[in-house]
Amino acid sequence: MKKLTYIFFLLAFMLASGCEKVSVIDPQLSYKEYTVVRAKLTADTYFDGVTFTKTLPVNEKYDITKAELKNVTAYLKIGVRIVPLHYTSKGVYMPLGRLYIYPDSTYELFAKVNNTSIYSMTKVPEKPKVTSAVFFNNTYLTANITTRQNEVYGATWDIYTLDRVIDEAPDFHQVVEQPDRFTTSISVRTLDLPVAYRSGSYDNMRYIRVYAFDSPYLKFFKTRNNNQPVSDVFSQGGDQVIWNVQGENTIGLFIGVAPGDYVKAK
Amino acid sequence: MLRINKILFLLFLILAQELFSQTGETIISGFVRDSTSGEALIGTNILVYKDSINTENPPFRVSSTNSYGFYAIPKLSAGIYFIIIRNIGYTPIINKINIKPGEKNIQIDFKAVSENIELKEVVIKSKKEETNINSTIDLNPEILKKLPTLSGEADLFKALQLLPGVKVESDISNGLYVRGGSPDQNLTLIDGTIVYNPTHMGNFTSSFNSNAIQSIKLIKGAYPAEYGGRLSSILDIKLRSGTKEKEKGSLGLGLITSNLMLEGPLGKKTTYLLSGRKMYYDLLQKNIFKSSSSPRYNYYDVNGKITVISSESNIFTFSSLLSNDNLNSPPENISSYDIGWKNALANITWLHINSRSLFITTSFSFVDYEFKSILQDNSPKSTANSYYSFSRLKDLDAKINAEMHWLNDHTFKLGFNFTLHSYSLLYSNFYDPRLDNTLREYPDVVSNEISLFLEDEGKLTNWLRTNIGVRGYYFNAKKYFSAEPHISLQVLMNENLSFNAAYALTHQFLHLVIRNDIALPTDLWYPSTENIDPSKSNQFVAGIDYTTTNREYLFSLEGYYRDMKNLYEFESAPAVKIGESIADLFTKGEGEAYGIEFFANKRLGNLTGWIGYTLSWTKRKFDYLNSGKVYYPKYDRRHDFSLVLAYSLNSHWNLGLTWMYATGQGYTLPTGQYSFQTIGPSDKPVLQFNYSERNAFRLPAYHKLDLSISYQFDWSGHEITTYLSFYNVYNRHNPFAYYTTYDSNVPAGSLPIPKINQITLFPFIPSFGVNIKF
Repeated sequence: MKKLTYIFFLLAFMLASGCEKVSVIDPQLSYKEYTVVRAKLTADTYFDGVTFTKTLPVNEKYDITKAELKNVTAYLKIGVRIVPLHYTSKGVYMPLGRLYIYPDSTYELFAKVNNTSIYSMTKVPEKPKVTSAVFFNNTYLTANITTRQNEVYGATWDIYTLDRVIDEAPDFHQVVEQPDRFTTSISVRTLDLPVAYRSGSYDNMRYIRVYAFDSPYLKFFKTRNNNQPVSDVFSQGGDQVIWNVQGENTIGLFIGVAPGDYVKAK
Repeated sequence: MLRINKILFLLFLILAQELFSQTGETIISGFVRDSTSGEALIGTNILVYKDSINTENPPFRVSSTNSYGFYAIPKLSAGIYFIIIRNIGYTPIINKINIKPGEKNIQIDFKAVSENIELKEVVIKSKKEETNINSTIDLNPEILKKLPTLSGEADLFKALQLLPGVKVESDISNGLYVRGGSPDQNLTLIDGTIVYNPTHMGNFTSSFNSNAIQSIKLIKGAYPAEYGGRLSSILDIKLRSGTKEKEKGSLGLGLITSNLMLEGPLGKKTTYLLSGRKMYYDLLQKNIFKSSSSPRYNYYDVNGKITVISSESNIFTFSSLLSNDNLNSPPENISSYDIGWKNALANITWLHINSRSLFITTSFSFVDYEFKSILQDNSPKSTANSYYSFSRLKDLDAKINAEMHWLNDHTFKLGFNFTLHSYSLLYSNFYDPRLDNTLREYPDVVSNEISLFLEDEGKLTNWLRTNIGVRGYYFNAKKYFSAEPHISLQVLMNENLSFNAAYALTHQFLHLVIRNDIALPTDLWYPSTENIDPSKSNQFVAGIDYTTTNREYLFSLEGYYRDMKNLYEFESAPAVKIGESIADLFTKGEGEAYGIEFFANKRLGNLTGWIGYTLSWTKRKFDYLNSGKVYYPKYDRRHDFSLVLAYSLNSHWNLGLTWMYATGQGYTLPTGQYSFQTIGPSDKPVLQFNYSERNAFRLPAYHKLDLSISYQFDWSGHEITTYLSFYNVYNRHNPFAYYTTYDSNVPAGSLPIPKINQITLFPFIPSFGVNIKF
């Protein structure tokens, strides 16, 4: 019996010692350098530049001085006009002078990074037209908008008073597009308002703001969460984000946007 | 369509021939059962000699018992016949019969006496004398007891995983992946009733007690027309009836699981069998492995069966299964989850043999399957959205199948099946306990599935065996009609060598839609609707079999190809939104799978076992996964090798060994990190990963060796078996997953430093237990 007891505890110990094992893997196992491009062309504002960086291995501290690309040859093409871009700092490339972004205009990006050609194009939308806005079901705001082809729309709730935004939705609930070319009006909704903003005291401060984007933004929006780190053993995230910048081993977004007016919700 | 019409016409001709050719001749039929327990003996060979027995010549007729132990020899003229009943492990029976002119039907039931030796034949690639179903493996339940397992308990799914063409996704995944098909594409039947989720989680065990299993048939592809409703494969399990000898039982005690089985007679005509199991691994985790990040897990299951042999031609069976699984996150986990599933099913079957040797089975089944997933993520850095889903699937099923043995060398089968499906589904992007009570406020969605099949299994010439059938469907939720041809051919070159080929078109109306981004089970069954098309697949199989003359060794080489259309999965990182259909989060796709399998089986002697090797490719393409590009799913493993050995040292000691090697599963890894200023309402810089294409990386090869030793002895008239099982003997660190953690030792305001970790769930694990028969 003593022997049996000994064997039992020995096996229980072996079982206990045999539980899961965690180890850090070599980041070079999967590292592959990509060029990252980012530009937001906001209608009726001055251009704030294109950022060119590269990806870094995962198991190290992200450092912009290591990531920025300083030797990129890049220019914008607007119709027949060529606007060269020059390195400023932290990977940002700007024109020598100020460049005003006009709505309903097309902008093309040409760049060369280490003999790799990069290209993208976007059309900056016009300011979206909101025909009505409603505080729906005491939960969120919706807006009916007049749509245009090749544009997509997102909306935020805003707590707005005295020409000042007190608070704004951190993100869009959805991005919608014109379902077909015959439909000229669609509805877009915001995230749910925080409970505090649903009461009567905020009745005159609930505004909705609609943003119009060039159409490639829709696929980016739908896939943008695929690139976030997964911190749970039993989750396997990771899928590709759909970008609109083309080039070998290149990712990025070069997108036109036109924010609308703040419209009070009824 | 023309092809289907031709097949229907051919079947009609065969049926007509059978109907009009059955006069003036005698049919001998009956059951073959174990003399002690009364259990039906499946696959028993029936050899008929005319006038005298001369084993130098081939028998006058050859047949075998079906899955109920029934046989029939049609079209015998008046005269003297000798019937030999032969089954390995039983003393052969020789019976002389004098058929007199004018005798129509003779029913003879045989009771075979066990030779009291251990059954040595462990796996039979299905090439019995009178069957022709390609890609089929009949697994003897006896082998299950000899193989090592994680819990130490004999298990069906552990053995199935070791067969070529059968894979699992990971150490804790649910279900089997047969020839590139996902688990929902396998039809699992217990006594003819569908089991929607036949496994307990991961590699632990299947939902049924191995002690209660009488027979196991796995058809890996291009299955015959009598089965249907699934794209990939068939797992047909028959439960034992219970012994008629006396009250018996067995009790198994183990570190992780325990089980109890009781069986015996209930009067002269009735037997029963009741078995149950309980797993309590979560108690060990709670009290010993407190820091383990493995899921907290427990389950129980209960199988029951009552068999009433009311007369020579009427048998009634009542069988049921109840199982319940609970899977919870460890305390202090960043992401919390609470996942549970329940199977409940009941079946009544009436077997009737009419005067013309028509074997009819009529059955009514009720299936109730529910699955609940609650996933809540408390980490701002994780992609996992909060997710709650509760799905319940209830089926009422009526089935009538007829098996006719009226024509020599042909068995004609005909069947009708009506199923009433009822679905309830609730999902949300948050969880509140009140949601559990909300389901009853939603009406069930009901749909009907009707199917009809015709099948002829027989021998066209001395060298050509066929199984030709057609199955028709109607699924009312989609107003969908379809007809499927099922064709299987076997060309016998000689006694030992045969070539095989098969084709089948298959459909599936229920889709198991799973979350790709989560390694935990998240079952959601969804029916075909106006917007969700039925899945369909074309399957082609061709192979060659060689059996040594003494049947000790079998070698098989088989190739397959199958396409799959209208598959559904969740799109990447789906975010459930209230007010929108969950089907909006599905993405539609297609797939294909092809490969070649080699199987060498030693079936007799003290040393038995097999070697299996599969070289295969499985591909998927979905509109909204992997940017619409083709990818290899996680369970695509290029090479898969398994070695299974069972060795009986003597009547007391048995050794079991399994070794498996497989190409590492596909995995999606970040190729690098970057900071990206988001584009939206707020433009904050966030640290993001750039991921490779889906499953572009391979985990290191998966291999491990498992061993078991058992010792059997008698104590006070009770048979006692003790076992010691070693899982992953050489402690191979097979990676289960990669995940990200952050180095917290960074200055305030700095971006955190991510690290990719690899986790191994099941290194070396010993277990032991004892089984007592009383």
